[in-house]
Amino acid sequence: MRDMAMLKRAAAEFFIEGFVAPEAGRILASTPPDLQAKALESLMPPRTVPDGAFQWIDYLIWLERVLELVDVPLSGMEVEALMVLKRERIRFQNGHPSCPHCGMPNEQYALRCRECMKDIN
Amino acid sequence: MSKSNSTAARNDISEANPVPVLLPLDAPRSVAFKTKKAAFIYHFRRISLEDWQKFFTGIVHQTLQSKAAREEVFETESSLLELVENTLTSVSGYGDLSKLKNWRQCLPIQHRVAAGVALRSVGESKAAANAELPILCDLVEVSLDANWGADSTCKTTLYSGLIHRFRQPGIAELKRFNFESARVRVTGTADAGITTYPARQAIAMKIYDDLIESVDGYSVGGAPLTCVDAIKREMDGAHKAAAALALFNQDDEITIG
Repeated sequence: MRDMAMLKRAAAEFFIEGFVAPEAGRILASTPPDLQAKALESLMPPRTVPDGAFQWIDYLIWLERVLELVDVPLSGMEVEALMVLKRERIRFQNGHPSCPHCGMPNEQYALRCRECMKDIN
Repeated sequence: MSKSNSTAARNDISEANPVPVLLPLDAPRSVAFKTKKAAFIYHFRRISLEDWQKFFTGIVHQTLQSKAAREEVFETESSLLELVENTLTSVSGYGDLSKLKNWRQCLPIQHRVAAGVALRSVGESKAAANAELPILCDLVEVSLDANWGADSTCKTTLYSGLIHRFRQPGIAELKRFNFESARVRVTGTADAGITTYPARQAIAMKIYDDLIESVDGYSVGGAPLTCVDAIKREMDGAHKAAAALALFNQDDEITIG
């Protein structure tokens, strides 16, 4: 995956998917099994880039975790891709500040945490 | 692969009798199967590492995306048919084939696919998966069960507990495996793209050679396979791929408390 513009777009969608996932999970848990696929489709934001970009992001996330523990030689492409991922994560975090009580991300102007339901400000 | 073909191949295995002998890697292979009307035996030459490499890289795994619509394509049959056609030496059960110009292509397609499915029939041992306690040691052991050959009575031989011992994969091997597995090819545009996934078995076959230390249950020329160089050279490609994939996929569910 050398297309960094596609990777950037996929990373933005990946973080939004992670943001939506806990709530989607709660709704799915109370949805009948035969309706779950349809419900998931409507709950999760649509992916607008090919699946390959997400496969590559999974690898980069794994690589980030490894790099926290041990140094491994990286290729130029991996370094560039990790930087794209880091920039998109910062962009996501800026738009979704963490709750001071539970640490979960919230919408930028949310007054109450969507996870622990405590007042944010 | 069609459901009926898979079932045909699995029926052969379920009828098989486990035999505590070494699996002869250099012996010609045969696959036997029955229909309601007749019994057939397909004889194959030894399947080389190149044959397996070609088969694994010929598997098509793609996702096609156009806006929100997404379609997954997973196709192994073409590659399987090519493997059978390239390695099949003779068949019995069809009568006289000598007058046919290209007898291989005249064989019923579902028979060829069933034979191909039987050829690649190897997987992690069920007994190993149910083992109670892992034993800590320098080497990681993977146990395979495989369907290998059939005799003239159409009985398939199932080999159980074929052991592959690997040295513990280092971070370099893990990174290589994960990197190669994630090295997808995306063609088209971001909005209407085709993702082509790499064949993980082909990657696993290569990594097998870097990590293997010893095996049990295999023979070449009637003697057990012992030396590492001989293992790398003689081991069947499908067994290499299955063992290495089992090594990298050891995901035990962990529960705290």
